[in-house]
Amino acid sequence: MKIEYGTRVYIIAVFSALASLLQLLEIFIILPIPFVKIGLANAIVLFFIVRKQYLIAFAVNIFRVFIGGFFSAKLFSLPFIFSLSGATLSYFVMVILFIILGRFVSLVALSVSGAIAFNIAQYFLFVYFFDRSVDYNITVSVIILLSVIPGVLTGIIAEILNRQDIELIKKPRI
Amino acid sequence: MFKFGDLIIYAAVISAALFPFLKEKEAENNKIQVIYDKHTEYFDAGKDTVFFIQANKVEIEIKDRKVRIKDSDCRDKYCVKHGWLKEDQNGKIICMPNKVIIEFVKREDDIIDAVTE
Repeated sequence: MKIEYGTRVYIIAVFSALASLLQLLEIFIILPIPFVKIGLANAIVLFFIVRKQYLIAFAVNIFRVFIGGFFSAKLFSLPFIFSLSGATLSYFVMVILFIILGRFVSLVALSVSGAIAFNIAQYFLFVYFFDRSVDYNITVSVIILLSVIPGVLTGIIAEILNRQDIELIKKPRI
Repeated sequence: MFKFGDLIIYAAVISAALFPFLKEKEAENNKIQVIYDKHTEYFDAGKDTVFFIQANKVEIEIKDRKVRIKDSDCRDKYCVKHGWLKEDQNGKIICMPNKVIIEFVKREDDIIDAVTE
């Protein structure tokens, strides 16, 4: 499939809609472990990072948090801020790892690192807002272990998505 | 699905997950509070010492983050029979005749009533 686009806005709009839809549909997927959800929207972000469209990936990542927050009635609440900061940190972690390691890294590992960054950012914000006395402790390792499972799932989905024959073609300006 | 560079990321993840277990248990911020008559003194739990409170005739020993009253001139010597007081125990050693109270407290600068920003 070939997707032709004149400006980035078109791509950002379409894929933000797709990502926020995935994020909203995710509520109905219940994993056997509590507090764990698969970040399906992250697969789309990874899809763009691998194609080196970092700006589109960032915009999609931020917009899906906003749209998802709007439709789940959490816009600008505390969980929303947690989610936004987690999404931002996980984006930067994934992009920096991809820039450093390049083609030596698979999408599963990138997705795992992104999931961990997402949850760790939320945990540290939680500590900042509610309980300043907590140190780096065993809770962090539990969070890391719990975020590996959805990270691997999302990574496999992103890998499948990446193998599809989708090409992004930017039309030259006339 | 798997490439060579993944090993770096997985190694970092595993080491981050194992870090709290590998970390040596830090010395906790506990101090030994000794109250005698109307004075209050604080001692570092990590330092092994034996000292004698002259006015109250009580000898206190600190060893391996534990504290005990080694000797006292009181009659029943309940304080000496109490033995070692450990850091994680919530207890006090009290010598009534000599007016000495020993307990573990958190370091004063860690005790914050409230923070506003």
